[in-house]
Amino acid sequence: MKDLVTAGDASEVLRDIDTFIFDMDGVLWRGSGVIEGSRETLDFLRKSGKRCFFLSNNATKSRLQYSKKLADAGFQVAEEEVTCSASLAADYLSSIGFKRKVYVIGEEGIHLELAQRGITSIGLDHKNEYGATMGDVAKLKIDPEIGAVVIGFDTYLNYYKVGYAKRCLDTIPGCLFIATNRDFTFPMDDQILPGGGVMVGCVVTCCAREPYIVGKPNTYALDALRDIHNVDLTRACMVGDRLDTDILFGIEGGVKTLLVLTGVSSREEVEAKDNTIHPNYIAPALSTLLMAQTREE
Amino acid sequence: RGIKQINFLVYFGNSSSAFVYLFISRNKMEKTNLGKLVENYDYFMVDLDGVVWEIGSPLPGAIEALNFLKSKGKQIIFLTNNSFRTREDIKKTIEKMGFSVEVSHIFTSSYLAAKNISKNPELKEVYVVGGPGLFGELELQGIKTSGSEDGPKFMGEDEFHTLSPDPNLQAVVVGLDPSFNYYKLSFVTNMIVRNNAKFFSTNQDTAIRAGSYLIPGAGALVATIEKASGKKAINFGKPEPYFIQLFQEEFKEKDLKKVLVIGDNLKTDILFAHNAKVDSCIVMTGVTTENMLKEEKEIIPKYIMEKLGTFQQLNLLK
Repeated sequence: MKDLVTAGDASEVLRDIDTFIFDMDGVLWRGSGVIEGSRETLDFLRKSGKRCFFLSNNATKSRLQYSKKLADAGFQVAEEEVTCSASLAADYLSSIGFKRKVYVIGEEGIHLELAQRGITSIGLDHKNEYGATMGDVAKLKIDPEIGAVVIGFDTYLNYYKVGYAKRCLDTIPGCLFIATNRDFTFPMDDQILPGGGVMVGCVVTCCAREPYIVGKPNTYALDALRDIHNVDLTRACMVGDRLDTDILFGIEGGVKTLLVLTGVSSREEVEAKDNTIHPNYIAPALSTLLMAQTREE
Repeated sequence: RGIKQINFLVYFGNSSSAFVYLFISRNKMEKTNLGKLVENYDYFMVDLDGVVWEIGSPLPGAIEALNFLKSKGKQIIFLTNNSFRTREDIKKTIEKMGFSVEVSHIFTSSYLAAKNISKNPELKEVYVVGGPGLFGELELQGIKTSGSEDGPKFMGEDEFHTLSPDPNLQAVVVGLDPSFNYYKLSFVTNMIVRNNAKFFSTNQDTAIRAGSYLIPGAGALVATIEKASGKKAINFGKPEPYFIQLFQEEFKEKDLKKVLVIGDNLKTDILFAHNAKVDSCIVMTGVTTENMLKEEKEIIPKYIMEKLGTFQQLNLLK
């Protein structure tokens, strides 16, 4: 594991890497503020001929919404460079020729991405079923055309939705079970917000079934980069702030990894005796790569 | 080892010391075995769902069996992991079915949690995720409760800012709560992580039977909080042995050899009996099927009976 300290260190990264894959929360921005130097770094990397992709485990927004968020924050991106776990879930269903309906515990992003691929989804209005009794849940009727349940981060989670998902998984033969991600917490200022992994854990517990997880650290997203975007994974680097999602994703996917310390994981975590996830590079922030600029001149 | 063959009328087993069988046939009843069983025990700790009743109706012979045991001088104590209803409410249901019972002989996981929490006088105020049974039993023990069955519906901007919990809220108790939602989940997670609040659960059954289907149980709610907070709940209900301590305190009985636990669930009722070091009997009228019994390698009950109503056979054989 190498600390990026000198301009030489930063240049070495640029020498070995043609494609950068960026996590967004904790790398480009934090809360609602852009992390200093991240815009400049991206401009520099593009000018140096590097390809950039953006990957988030957050399933609340669609790719289009993420592109807009990036543009509004001053990052120049093309929509096809952006992937989020909502689009990964929809891509997966589309790729297997899925033609039935999907029950979703999740926010708008998943529904938008499914609709874009012509797949009907149910569940967005179940936020209004808050207040349903156990008797109501026992008597609920599910749409028999459902063929899959997709679970992601959902601030409108309620007991009715969990009961509906359980009924689908218990009673529909061959019902698919897909999860966007397993992150247990969602970073946000001082408050701790439960993440998508918690919603998934709830359904896993009461259904005794494990889902197929499309988000990091599952390497499904790398298949698309390699197959659709012709990325040479041997010269690619995942840049992220979380050891157990971003860095593990990179290691399992066979790409290089750069951990930036502007987000969730700390240096202490990396250096802890029982830590088994070691990034190739570690830097205080993304802007550390800007040091390579001085080398070029 | 374990159970080799079960057919509908006759139950076999290897006679290892952990395992005794009862023969039941259409025509003939092994009167001495069942009679001996009844003689051996003074206290029958009976689970409710899948043993006494199912979907609101008593199971065949169940009420008659209970009345028969009572007539023989036995004490019947009902043990349920269900946290949602009050003991008074459950008493009314049982009496409507034809068995008279006092509240003192009904142990719910809410009552159990409340009794245990009241042993910590420093836990002055407790946040409750649960139904009327849990709120009610805590309040009966003089514990101040916070939270309600009508919390904020959604997590909006305003609600987000209320996630800095009051440090006076020193504990959270979780039972089954159909009004559980993202807001409550976040609120209790912040209580546990930021204020070091104690985290208790009444029970962790992952699913419960309601009508023809299974609905999510308290265990699913507890799992969300455990994952979000990184802390494990202290669980009071079966299979943990707390119910047996409660029994010993309230019935002043030291000899646990006089107790027989009757339940339908290997992972809760029978495992509880193992943990509490008391004898157990499984009935086949609930969640456990013959296949499950055949495949079970660890949690083996001492007896197997077709149903609670089997005791009624003794009455008929006089």
